[in-house]
Amino acid sequence: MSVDHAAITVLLALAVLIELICCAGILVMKTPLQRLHYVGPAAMVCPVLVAIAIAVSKNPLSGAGLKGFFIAVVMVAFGPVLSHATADAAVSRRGPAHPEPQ
Amino acid sequence: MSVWLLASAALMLGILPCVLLAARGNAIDRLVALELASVFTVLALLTFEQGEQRQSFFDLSLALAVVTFPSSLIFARVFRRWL
Repeated sequence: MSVDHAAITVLLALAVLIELICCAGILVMKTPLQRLHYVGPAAMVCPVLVAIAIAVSKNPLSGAGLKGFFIAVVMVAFGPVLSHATADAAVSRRGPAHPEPQ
Repeated sequence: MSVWLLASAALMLGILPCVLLAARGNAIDRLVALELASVFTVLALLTFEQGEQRQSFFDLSLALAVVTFPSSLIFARVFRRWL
């Protein structure tokens, strides 16, 4: 097994491990806001790990490497926005978590 | 089976808990499950393409990653205003 293959295996295994943790988290947690905390790692860390694995397996400046990098950038950039919008919708539905005193 | 295809299969299995949550939870839970399932789908497609060595499939995951953001955002906005 070459060093590149070992690195790819480790990176993909990490991505799958984070995915499993996030899957368990969304099933175990009780409220939508708690569940949103487990969407973040899957949307931010896993794409970066997969993109690095693709860059290791191929030339980073090849078509596949650039597309993998672009997908990771898109998901990392838009993930927090989506989480914020979802949390905003959840809070507006149930009311603020800590209402200001009158 | 290469490590890419194994990772793709594992990522596809991650969609099952999202389906469970969408089936059991309320509307916000479904939105959270949709977001997580979208992430897993993009990554599963990406690793599957890498395992199959088909360059044309890369465009599929790229398009899905780009389209997922506005669709989920609009869903959240609609939910906040009208549902």
